Amino acid sequence: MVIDPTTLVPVAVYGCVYTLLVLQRKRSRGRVDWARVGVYVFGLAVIVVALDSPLDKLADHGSMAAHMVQHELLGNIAPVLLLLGLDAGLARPVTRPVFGPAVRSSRGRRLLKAANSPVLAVGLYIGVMWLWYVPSVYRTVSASSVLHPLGHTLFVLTGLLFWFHVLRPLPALVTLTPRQKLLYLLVGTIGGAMVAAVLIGAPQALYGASLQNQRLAGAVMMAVEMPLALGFGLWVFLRAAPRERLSPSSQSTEREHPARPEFAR
Amino acid sequence: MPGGLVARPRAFAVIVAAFAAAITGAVGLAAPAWTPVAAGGALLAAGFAVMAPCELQMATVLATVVGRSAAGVGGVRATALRFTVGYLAYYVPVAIVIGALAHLAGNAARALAAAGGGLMLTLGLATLGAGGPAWLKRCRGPLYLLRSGRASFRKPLRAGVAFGQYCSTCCGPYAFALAVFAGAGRHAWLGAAIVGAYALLMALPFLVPALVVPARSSALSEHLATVRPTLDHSAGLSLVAIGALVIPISLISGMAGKW
Repeated sequence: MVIDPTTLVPVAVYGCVYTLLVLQRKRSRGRVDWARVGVYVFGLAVIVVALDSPLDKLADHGSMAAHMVQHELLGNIAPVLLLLGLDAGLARPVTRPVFGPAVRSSRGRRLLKAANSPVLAVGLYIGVMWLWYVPSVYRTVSASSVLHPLGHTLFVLTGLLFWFHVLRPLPALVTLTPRQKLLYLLVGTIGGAMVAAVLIGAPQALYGASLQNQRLAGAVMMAVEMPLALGFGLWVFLRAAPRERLSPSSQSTEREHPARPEFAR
Repeated sequence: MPGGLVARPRAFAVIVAAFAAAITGAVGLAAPAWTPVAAGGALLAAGFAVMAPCELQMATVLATVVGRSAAGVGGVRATALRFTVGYLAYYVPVAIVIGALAHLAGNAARALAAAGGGLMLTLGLATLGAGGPAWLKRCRGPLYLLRSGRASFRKPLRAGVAFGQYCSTCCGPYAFALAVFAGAGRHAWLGAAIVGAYALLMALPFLVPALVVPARSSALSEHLATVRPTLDHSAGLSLVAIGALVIPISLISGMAGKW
């Protein structure tokens, strides 16, 4: 398999930067979370698989379901893995010089805050998805050798921006509470569900693929996005629960009434 | 948890039903061929709301089962797998029955979907203590099955089956409506595949963490026990909402004749 340079170069650059960060961490701390490294590498591999594998050929030959798998890998799976592969300490050598000066100036801080807005993130995530699936846009972009890779890049970027607020691997100026995160996930899922409903329920083929293939694409979309949203919703909920339990008021209550599952008594 | 909605679930149901009827009705009148898109959009968008509370309840039950029966990392993984196998083993025949039902019902499938919506609404109201027959009030979640001795916390496979029984009562009508929306009337296997996929999608989010980070999963049961009342309210409220949503969109789409 020969990897297309337009895929290889960015993936190699991100891989090299990440390797340097890992080496730096190993020098300074003496240990590295290899599981995290593995997740990041897996994320890069997912991008390569999405863009330079038989899947890409299938998508290019008009399979809308294959195209959808590609988009889900690029817009959701890879961003989640890449973000899970980061943490604040690891990224500090990059984030400190890049964002440090901006955070210290009030104008820069305002700009960063605007760019870090969850409303913007979910808006771009849904907006790019909806724009792509406007039938005329889909056909034009899919046929263009320039716009198509740009579209894929946009999917990765908006995916990173969207999932950043759920996973928040790095310090941020805007932080969502667990309830806000659940609402945020719900809005993102509804955005995807609208597209899936059009793909599954439309009375005719809209994108040049067969109607069956179009419906399958809608099912693929839900099959990826729904468990992801549910899984991370569960994660958000479970992370919030211990914090609630450990608050001073709940601690005193628990001493008087030790928490035991009601159904376990 | 929005307390006002829990206190007035009937008013909430009326608002949701009116909203769903307005949207589906407007699309049905303007472009009847696109009614399935409006109906499907509403159903799929509501999926997160109907699945999330069940998912959390499932995590509660699984965490307790794991806490009672598993020892060590390998034990947690094996228990989670057995629980999932039990859950899916129950759901596979349910999926086949639902698929066949959607196929055999033909044009009546939409009326059946609306009746399913009515069942969900009644269950939701009973869960919130706002109505419904007295016997339904005892069926508050998987606890009923576990407490009544039909399943055991120490037997993960049976606990999974018990959860499947509970889940299919609440989510079954929703899954049926989804199957009808996706065209299960034409092919029985399509309906079965959709309901099977639905069960699998429900199982993945709690199974994967138990397999990947088993140590954390086994420590969850106490944490989750403290939020169980919130989960019960959320599940009741989501049942009310989905029931109120499914009834008008099934009937209106049926009248538009395109679903």
